[in-house]
This record gives sequence, structure tokens and C-alpha cells, in this order.
Amino acid sequence: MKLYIQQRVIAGFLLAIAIISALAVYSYLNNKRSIRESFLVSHSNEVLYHIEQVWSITANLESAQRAYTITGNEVFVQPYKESSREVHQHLDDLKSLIADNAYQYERFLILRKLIDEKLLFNQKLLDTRQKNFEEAQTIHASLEGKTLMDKIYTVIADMQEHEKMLLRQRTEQREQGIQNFNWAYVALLSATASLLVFVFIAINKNLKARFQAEESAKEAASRIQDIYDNAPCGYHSLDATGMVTEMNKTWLDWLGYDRSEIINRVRFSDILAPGNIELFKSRFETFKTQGFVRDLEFDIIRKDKTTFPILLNATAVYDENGNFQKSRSMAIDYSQRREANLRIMALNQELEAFTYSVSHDLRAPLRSIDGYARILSEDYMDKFDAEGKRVLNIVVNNARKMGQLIDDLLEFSRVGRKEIIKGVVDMSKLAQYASEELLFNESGRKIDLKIDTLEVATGDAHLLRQVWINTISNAIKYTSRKEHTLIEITSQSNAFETIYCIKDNGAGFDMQYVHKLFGVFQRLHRAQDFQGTGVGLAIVHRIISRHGGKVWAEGKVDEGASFYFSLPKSTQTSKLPL
Amino acid sequence: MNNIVEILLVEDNPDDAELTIRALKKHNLANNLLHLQDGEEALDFIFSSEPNSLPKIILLDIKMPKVDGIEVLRKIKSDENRRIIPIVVLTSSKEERDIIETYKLGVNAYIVKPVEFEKFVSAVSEIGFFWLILNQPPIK
Repeated sequence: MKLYIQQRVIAGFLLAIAIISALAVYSYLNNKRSIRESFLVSHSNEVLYHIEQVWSITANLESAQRAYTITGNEVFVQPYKESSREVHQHLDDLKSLIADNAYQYERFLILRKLIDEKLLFNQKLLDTRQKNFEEAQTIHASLEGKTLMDKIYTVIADMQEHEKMLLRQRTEQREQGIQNFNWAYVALLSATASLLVFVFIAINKNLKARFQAEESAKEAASRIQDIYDNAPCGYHSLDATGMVTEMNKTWLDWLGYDRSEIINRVRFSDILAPGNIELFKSRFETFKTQGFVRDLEFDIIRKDKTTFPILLNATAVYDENGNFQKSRSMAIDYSQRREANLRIMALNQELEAFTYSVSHDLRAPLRSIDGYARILSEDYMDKFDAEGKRVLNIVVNNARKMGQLIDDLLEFSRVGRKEIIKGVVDMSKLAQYASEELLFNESGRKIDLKIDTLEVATGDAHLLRQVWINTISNAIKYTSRKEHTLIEITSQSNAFETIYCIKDNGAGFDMQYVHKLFGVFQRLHRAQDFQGTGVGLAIVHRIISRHGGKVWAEGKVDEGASFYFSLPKSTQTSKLPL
Repeated sequence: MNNIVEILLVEDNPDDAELTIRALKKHNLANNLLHLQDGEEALDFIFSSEPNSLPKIILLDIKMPKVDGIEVLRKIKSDENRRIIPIVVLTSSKEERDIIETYKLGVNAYIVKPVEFEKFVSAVSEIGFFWLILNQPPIK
């Protein structure tokens, strides 16, 4: 048996029980003693009674004897005979009563002897009186009888005194016992009462604490229930068969159903749009073993037959044997987000149409400008003077520059829109291939490019290749004025991310403009020093951002630059195009 | 013999057309070239030609008024007798969806016109050289 009572309460109870038991035992013993003492008291009274009787009968005998002696009337003989029989009767009784009391018994023997003597004396007197009155008178006058009576009285008085003393003692003892018992009884009962009061207080305190705990538990439960019911998202649980076993109020309100219409009556597939049912069934089976699902989109049918989209996330609950028990599912009303997504898709399409036409329509006239300027310079060179040639060159150069700008801008836009297809990417190989490709065009330069064994990354290989191309070409470009180019590519990782670094000994940059490095068309060097459109690092920034990573750089003018980008190790990234 | 069109250039931009023709002429590849301005004209021409007098190569722009290059490509490549004509898309657009779609329709090559004239000239002349001289066509 499990005990929920406090130790002191148990102790109090045990003590009370012990006291009551002791009281019972004490009461029983006291009762026994009291009975014995009462017996002794009544015994003493009996003894006194018999002593009294013996004396009074003896006195009667004396009177009867005297009366006869004086009168000689036979009428006194009869009572005398009766009394002498009676006195023996009482003596016998007395003997049995005081047999255990040596003092009294001793006196009793004397008394009996004296009474016997007295009876003999009386008999002698009676006999003598029958014959001769004077002779009897003489005997009487001898005062023998009186002496005997005095002796008897003395013994009787002694015995009475002794017995009374005993009686007094016994009565006192009995009263003392009763008083003692009463005191003890009251004391123990008071102790028990106090204990019970203590126990009562302790139990009350305990119950109060329990009641308060229950109250706060109830309050906490209702708070949690409120969060569950009124959270701004839907919560539900499904059992292994897909039956809805729990559902919060928000969900029910979305659906327009009553709790009683759903719980244990409807399977989740019953509220799905027909096109979603098969998808749900197959995903639910996987979910039961996999333990979670993330961001599944479903169309839900309300009670009024209208539909709305939700985004479903769930984790599985298993019992101790690892069997699927139920789901903890959370649904988000996806209507607005879906609309926003559709808007984004529409905007993207618009953007795509725009870039498409930019790509096509802006390039064509540029090509004509460049082409015809070239025809001019090829076919009509003799007709131009030096200034004419210079101007023509400017036209050609600008046409080309604009062509490059358009190409870069389109690439920048493409990188933002392209769907990221993730996989494990061997960054060492990717950097190796990119640098080989880039160094192929730099055969005249002395370039020392070292690539460490790089950490693998999770990402889109095609886009990450672009990152390497842009960063390495950047390093090659800005080291072009150094006699001996040194480029080092390294990586390091922690639990969350891997950081890649491309370090060069080139022109570097002023750290106060570092914020401009990764912006579109932002350049920290003049075109005549280093050519470029200012899009390469912006593309790097965009690709890394879309992978959930960061880019940054450190540098010092003429002392080289280090470009860093980080890629997270988790697979979570934005699904929406940037 | 010389009346047979060897190269059919379908290009709505007259400047691009002129530059293309000029590039081919430089390498003497434009002798039997026909330039048409849009897809409709191209389809009319192709589908009115005898199967034995089809061009050796069609250089096709994509973005054109009325019937665009994709449509021309689809029509020709789905015709039993004319699908054998090699078609090279020569366009300004580098759009992936165009590249993918034209390849699905059976394009023989997809060339993005470079902005720089030299590159343009070398691209066009290489196309002409490859398809007219190096390549062995199925048509006699």
C-alpha cells in the first residue's frame, strides 16, 4: 500500500493509538485492582459485621443469663439457647473471613476461647441457678463473668479497631486508586485529544497544499488548453489509421464542424480535396516510420464544401515498444501565403518576360552599333582622320561594355530565379576545375594558386561553380599588376557552417568601402585599372544568400584581399526566389 | 543549279540580317542565300519548295513578328519530308527555356549571337562552313 500521508501525521496517529491502547490496558488493570480493593473493603465490612454480631449476641447471652439468674424464669432460657447457637455460627463465619490475617486470627482464637469459656461459665451459672439461687448469686458475685465479658470486649474492640483500620486503609487505597486512575485517564485523554488536534491540523495543512496544487495544476491545464484551442494555427492528432483523435478549436472553426462531428468519427483523408487523398495516404505511411513531415500542402474541404489550402507539419509519437501511437500535427492556413506565392510567381514571370526582352531587344541594336562601327573601321578606314578613328573606337568600346553589362545583369537576374537543386558538392574539385578553366587564359602570368582540401558543401553545384568562377576570377583580375600572384583557397567548419576563404596578394581595397563590395554595379576600382561591370561579387552574394549563407571580405589597399563565404550545414534554405 | 537555295536566313532585324550576310560573304558562303523577314514567309517558302530542292541549312531567329522561330521549327520538324533540313537557331536570347524547347523540337544547333562583331563574324562563318562544307547532308 502506498501512503500519501505525511510522516508526522502517521506518527501522530500511531502515538494516539498507542496512548489509547495503553489507556485500555491501564483501565483494565485498574478495574481489576478496583474490584479487588472493593472486595477487600466489603470483606472488612463483613468482618466488622460478624465481630459486631458476635459481641451483640454475647451481650444478649449475658442479658439472658442474668435475667434467668435473677428471675429463674424459664422464659429466658429459650433465647439463650438460640443465641449461643447463633454466636457459633458467626464465629465460624468470622474464622473463614479472617483466616488469612494472622493478627486478627490470633485474636479470633483468643476471642473464641473466651467466648467458649464464657459460655461454659454461663452454663454453669444456669445449671447452678436451677438448683440454688444463692449459690448462683455467689458465682455471680465472684465477678468471673464480668471479667470474661471485659476480656471479650477488649478482644472485640481490638479486632474492631484493627479491622476498621484496615477498612480505612482499604477505602483510602481504593479512593487513591480511583483518583490516580482519574488523573491518568484525564491526562492521557487530553494527550490523545491534543494529538488528534495536531494530526487534524497537519492533515488540513496537507490537504490545503494538495488542494492548492490541484488548483494550480487545473489552472495550468486550462492555460495550456487555451493555447491549444485558440492558437492561431490548427492542432490535431491522428491515430495509426488516420482517424482524427484530437483537434483544436481554431481548426474546427476553419472547418465549420463541431467537435463531436470530427473526433473519432472522421479520418483526415475525409476532409481532403479528392486530388490530395492519395498523396496524403502515401505520405502518412512514410510519416509513421520516418517520424515527421514538413511543409506538406493540402487542400481542405470545409463543412460548407468550400476549400482552403493548409501547410501541414507533424511529428510522430511512439509507445515504449516503438509502435506508432499518434501524430502531433500542426496546420497553418496557407490561403494568404499561397496567394502571395502566386503573386510572386506572377511577378517573376513578369520579370522573366522583362529580362527576356532586355536580353533580346537590347542586344540586337548593340550588335548593330558594334557591327556597323566595325564595318566603318574596316571598309572606310582611309577616310577617317585620327580623331575620327578615336571616336569610332569609343563607340565600339561602349557598345561592348554595354553588351557585357546586359549579359552580367541577365546572369544576376537568372541566378536569383534559378531553382536551387541541392546535393553534396565536392568543393575541392569545383574550385580546382574553375581555377583550371580561368588560368587557361592567363598563361603569360606567374600565378601560384593553392587549393586546400576543402570541406564538402550542400548546395547547387551549378551555382556554387559560378561562385568559384567569380571569386577566383576576381582574385586573378586584381592581382594582375603583381609580379608574383599568390592565391590561396581554404576552408574551415564548425558545427553549423563551413567558411570558405579566397585570399590573394593583389590590389586589395579600402575597408571603409567594404559595404559596397557585394552590391550590383558597385566598383572600388576604376575601369582603366581593372575592367569589370561590378556584378561578379553581387552574383556571389546572391547565390550564397539563397543557400542561407553569408559573404564578407577583408582587405587593405595594395596588400591583398580575403573573400569569405559561409554555407550552413543544415539543409534549411529559402524556397522562395529572391 | 545555282538557283537552289543553300542557306535560308529567317531574320526580322534587317541590320542583323545584313551583318550575317556580310559575315558569310566574307568567307564566300553567301552565294545561294535567301533572306526572309519572318516565320510566315519562311514556312510559305519551305512548304512550297519541292522536297528535292530544300535548303541545306536554315538559320532561324526566334523572336519574330507573326510566326516566331519556335513555331517555324515545330512545323518543319514535324513534317515527314522536311524535318531532315538542318536548322540552326541564331538568336540574341540566351534564355534557358528557349534552348530547352528548341532542342526538344529537334533543333540541330543553338547559337547566341555575340554582341562583338568579330565574334559574330567568326560564329556565323563557322556555322556556314560547318553545315555547307563539312557536314554531309541526307539530301542530294
